Amino acid sequence: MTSRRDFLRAGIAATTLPVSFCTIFPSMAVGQNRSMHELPVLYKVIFDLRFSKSREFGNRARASGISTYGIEGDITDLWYQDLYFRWKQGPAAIAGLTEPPAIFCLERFAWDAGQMRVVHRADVSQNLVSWVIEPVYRS
Amino acid sequence: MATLPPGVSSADFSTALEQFAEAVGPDWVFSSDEDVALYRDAYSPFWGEEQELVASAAVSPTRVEEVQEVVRVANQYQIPLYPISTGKNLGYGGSAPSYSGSVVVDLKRMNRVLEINERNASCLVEPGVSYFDLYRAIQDQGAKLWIDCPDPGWGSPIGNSLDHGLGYTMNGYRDHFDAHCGMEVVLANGEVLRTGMGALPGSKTWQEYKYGFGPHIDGMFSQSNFGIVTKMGFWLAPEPEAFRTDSVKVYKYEDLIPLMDTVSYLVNSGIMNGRGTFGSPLTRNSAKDPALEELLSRPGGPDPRALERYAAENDVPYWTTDLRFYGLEKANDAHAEYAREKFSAIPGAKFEEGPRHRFPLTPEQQKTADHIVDFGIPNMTVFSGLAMQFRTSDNPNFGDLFYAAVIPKNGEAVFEAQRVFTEVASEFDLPLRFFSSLPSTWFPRAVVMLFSLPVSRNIEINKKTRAAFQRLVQVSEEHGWGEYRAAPAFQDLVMNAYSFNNNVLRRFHETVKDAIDPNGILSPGKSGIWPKRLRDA
Repeated sequence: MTSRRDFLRAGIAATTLPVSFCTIFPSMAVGQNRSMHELPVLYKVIFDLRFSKSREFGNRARASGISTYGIEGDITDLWYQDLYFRWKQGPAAIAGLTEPPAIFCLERFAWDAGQMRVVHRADVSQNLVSWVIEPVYRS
Repeated sequence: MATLPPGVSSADFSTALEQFAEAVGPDWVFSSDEDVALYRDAYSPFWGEEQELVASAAVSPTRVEEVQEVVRVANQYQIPLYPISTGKNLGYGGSAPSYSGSVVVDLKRMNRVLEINERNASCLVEPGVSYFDLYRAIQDQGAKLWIDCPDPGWGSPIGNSLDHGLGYTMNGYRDHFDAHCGMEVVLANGEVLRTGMGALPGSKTWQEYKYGFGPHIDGMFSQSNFGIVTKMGFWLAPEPEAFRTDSVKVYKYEDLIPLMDTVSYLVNSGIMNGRGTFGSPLTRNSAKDPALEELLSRPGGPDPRALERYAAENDVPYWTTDLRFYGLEKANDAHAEYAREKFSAIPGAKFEEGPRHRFPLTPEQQKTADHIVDFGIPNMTVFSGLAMQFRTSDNPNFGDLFYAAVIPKNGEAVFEAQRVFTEVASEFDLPLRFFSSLPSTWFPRAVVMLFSLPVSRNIEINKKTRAAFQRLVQVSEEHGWGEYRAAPAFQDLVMNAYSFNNNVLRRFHETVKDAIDPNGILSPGKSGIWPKRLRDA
């Protein structure tokens, strides 16, 4: 069974994302002086039910034991029914393959909720973006 | 660290940041490029250009005392501060400061709902409370109260009301500043001021009676740079029993005049307590009919008579209005029946009944109801629309710059505004359809011609948008129309249009500013109000 870390490292790229993701993601991790083994545990993976690539992404995450949340463009329920409560408890990493407006909104919610930033973002297709939001530890 | 506050040495700034950190905790002072970038205005019309308004750092206090300490430090080092509540004012500047190099005071952590009073239908909140937070707090308490929220609802009641933001439910609640009652403000000298009945120690009516005693100064803290608002009371609407919406269709171009007059009468006489919104099925149907599209795309704007002929031949209304009634079901029905009678005075007008609801809505009804902000339910749905998907791609249109002119609430004024703004659209090659749109109807006695101009990551597009915006302000001024709200990049321009008696209004603001903020630390340039040291420079 694929581990959560393996999902981040290889699973996403191998299935739905372009080669660029395979290169961007590790370099991002290196840029923060972290090895791939220090990648955060994902609280949830977000996918969009309307797009097959995104559904595949969600399925693979779920198969890796990661909790998923399917949206249909609108992030209201994801925010109000789920992340709102989780992020009240403290920062938690999420990743997704969605349309740009979803990450546009989630980036701001994440910063408001705590010290979380988008640490990876890459165009996957004309309307889908892969992204990772994770806690920023300062000390 | 990319930007320093102008005139502040690197050493002083570093010392100030250390002192901010002592005040709020080291984790809540943000000065790295990655963190500060989050305070850029995502819809800046100057994105990536030298004139883009950017912060030098941000600090996020959690208590009033911490805000006071931040202000004290800022005074000591003459560091400009720019307070934001949740910073979601997209289209009007977002979370970016009005003066580059300012330290954003991000009040997101001051997020307590301090009181919900169901008996008096009011609340008291801190600036970091979002509409989602307040809605949830009311639901958790089981109070039968409604909020009135903008669309989308991720902003804050305090931030939105201070910028004269608006919502969608009942008269008396849609104008969010008008619906506030009582403020707490940290002044530039660090003192804490409470307005209205809040000035009375032990007051029992801070959120119940607005005026207190003496001059009512609350307006001085809206769209201003005279203080940092740390608490605000708001009046909330008791949940109504029911809602109904009806529509009226008319078929002649000039029918807009009696249509708007009748809506105004219904609103101002209290018969209709919701918004009366206006539309034209002609513009909505254009994609289905190339002949109609051709009429609408005519250079210089559509010919009203040609559209009128099209409307008659195709049995398409020229104009419609949607009416909204909130309250007792029987009263709504009586009010709607009276409205039907009034509109029957317009020859050929058709009155159609629309959806009805009883409250509270079930979760399923909330999912299927159209435009749930009409029921005070915050959401983010606007970001999932096709138009927004287009806007949030990198090119050509990333976002919006809102132009919002207040014009009289009558058909003649709308026709004139459409004509004038269509000319501007032609001059700048903007979509004409856009400028023949109908006004937004948040206010009882005026309407807003609201245009969304494209902003982009493309500098040439932004240059054109800025030029169009300046032209819009100019032609509006020539016609006696003013903007009710503007992004910081254009606030000097808009304030200068309010030029009666040699700009006495702006000069009055400057006099107040110099008196209560002599170091000019609070939001320099906000609403075109500059402190003396920067004014003279």
